[in-house]
Amino acid sequence: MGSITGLYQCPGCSKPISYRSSEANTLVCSCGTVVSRLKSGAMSSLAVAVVAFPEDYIQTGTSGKRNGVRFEVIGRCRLWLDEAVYNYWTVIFDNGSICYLAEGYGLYAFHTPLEQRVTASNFSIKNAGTGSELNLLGEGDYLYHGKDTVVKIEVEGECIIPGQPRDVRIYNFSSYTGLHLQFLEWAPDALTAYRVEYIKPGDLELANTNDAALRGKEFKCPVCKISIQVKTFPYAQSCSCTNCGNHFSLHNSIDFKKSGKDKFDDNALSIPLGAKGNIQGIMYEVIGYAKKEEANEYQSQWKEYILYNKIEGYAFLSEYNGHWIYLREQGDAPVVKRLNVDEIEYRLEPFKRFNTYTYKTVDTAGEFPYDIFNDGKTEVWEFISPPEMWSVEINKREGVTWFYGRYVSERKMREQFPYTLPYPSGVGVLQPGFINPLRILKAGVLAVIFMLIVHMIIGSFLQNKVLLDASYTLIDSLNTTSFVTDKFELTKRKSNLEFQIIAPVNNSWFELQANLVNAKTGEEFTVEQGVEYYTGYDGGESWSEGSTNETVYLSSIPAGTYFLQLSGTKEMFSLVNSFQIKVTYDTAMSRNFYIFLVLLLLWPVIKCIQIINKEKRRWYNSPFSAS
Amino acid sequence: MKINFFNEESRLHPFRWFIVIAVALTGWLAYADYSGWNVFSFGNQQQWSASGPGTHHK
Repeated sequence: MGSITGLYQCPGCSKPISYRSSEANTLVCSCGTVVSRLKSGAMSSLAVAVVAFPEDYIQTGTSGKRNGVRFEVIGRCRLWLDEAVYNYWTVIFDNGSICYLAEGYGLYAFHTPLEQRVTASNFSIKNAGTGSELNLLGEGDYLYHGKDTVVKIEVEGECIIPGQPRDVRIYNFSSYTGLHLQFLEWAPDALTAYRVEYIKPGDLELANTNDAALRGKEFKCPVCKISIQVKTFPYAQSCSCTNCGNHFSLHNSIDFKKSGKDKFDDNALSIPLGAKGNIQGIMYEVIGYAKKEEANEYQSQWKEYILYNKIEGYAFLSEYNGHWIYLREQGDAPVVKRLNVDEIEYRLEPFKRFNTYTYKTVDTAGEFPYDIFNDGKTEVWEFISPPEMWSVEINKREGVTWFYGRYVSERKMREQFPYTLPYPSGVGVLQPGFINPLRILKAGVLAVIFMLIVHMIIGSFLQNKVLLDASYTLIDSLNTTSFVTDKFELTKRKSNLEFQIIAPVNNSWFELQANLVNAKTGEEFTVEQGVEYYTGYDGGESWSEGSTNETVYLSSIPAGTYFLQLSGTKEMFSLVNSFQIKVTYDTAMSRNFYIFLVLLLLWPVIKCIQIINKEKRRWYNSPFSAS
Repeated sequence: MKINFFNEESRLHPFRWFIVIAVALTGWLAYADYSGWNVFSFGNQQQWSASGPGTHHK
């Protein structure tokens, strides 16, 4: 038996049993005995419970893919922590290798046994304090997040449990380069290290899953005797009676025991429990409600709705002044040693510190994925980059938990939850519309450069053909003298003519009328331009006004054969006796560029003004608005 | 980076209308530059034909 035949004998019922995986050592026999295969090949039973009510979305036999490689679920360890329940599904790949797919509360992560040697001692790992750093692998520091104590273990199918589990603990670390490690201490000083890789459930391509709703747990409120249904048991850790406001916390992983009562049992829910709606493509059911209040002089209150989806886990809808934020716990989150900074960065995006506070829960209804009634001094830090935010909750007992939040518009909320929702007032914390003014400046500069390049490219293709460059003498005895030029060809479908006029005016004026005549059709295009220049001496200071040269255009002239009729008119008795004229065909007009430049810059200027005003109102409620 | 800036998840989404305006204005400028059109110019130029003033022959 054993390593040769692949068959082993169950120590409970003596029936033959076999393992799918050579790496798994724990197996649940059909008789209910949890069997452990020792290194020697001998079999012993483990004092570990079998999973009761296996109703999860993933089940033994579920298949999926990791980076295109197919796997099948062959069992799990379900670990009951102080305030959470996580499943460590054993998955076997086509090549026979196995690893854990840890899943719970919407978080999914592959836990692969670490091949690298851990350079830090077990003592330093087990005694790290929240926020401390350890060089775990000799290649850079890892930040310690927190420790979880396992209070109960259940198994199903095949899994890996080294020896008899005792005082099981979990230690979590993350590096500043975004790598995550978890240490599972199955017995004192018996640590197994795993590299943790978070993944979205949609990317797993899961098949053969269990889509049926959780059975939940029902019990009678000992105070008002109504039936309380905890739909997401065992993952819900606390609940509140919607009738009398009494609190219940999960005790010994089995029963809900009374732990207090709502201070104000308003139950002023805008969205009723049981309502369903789609947020970000996920259909959720509202299963809980909490009204919270900042524990400071402002005593700001907001409402939170706890959402649940069997595949995606729990989420939260937070409402303040009619503005809504959708939040979910994240495993892959910013790794920050100190939170008391003006800004943190996540994937090159800056998030500015907006608020920090502790809070108390003043009203509840429904059920919660954690013990909402024992949070005590949970410190919250909020960092925003509208419409997104990162919120981190720090609790000495529960460690550090990161939530990613995103603004949900009032329109979307009303579409999905057609109830009497509050109307928004003021500017929401994550209300979109904020653009970093530096980004606006950059966009404006890029647009100007783009427009200039196009203007110059078009300009380089223009003919700039000089049709006329001559001086004309005016007849002294006449105010107006006329001239006619030779014919010339305008070849482009449409273009312009530039007239540069120079006249020796001095405290006088000169006016030129140019008549462009199509020699074949008789069509005429006329333009007039005055040239005047005045100087004087007034109150000890000299002044001047005007210019002795001017430029004027005839625009959008169609192709054809033309000649010019020029009429120069001078002031009676002036000394102007001549003028110069230069006519250039198909030339660039800077005036066009400057007009379009002003139009282009309207958006950035107006946007900056709007944003400055909006941001003043957004940051009015922040104690860090000066930063 | 998501190129479709009308997609809410694109980093360029806040600039969607500016991009449209910039492209439209630049296109308009390019046409005006090429065809010799003096935009927003009123009154200085007059046009005459055998049919009378202001008549345009295409």
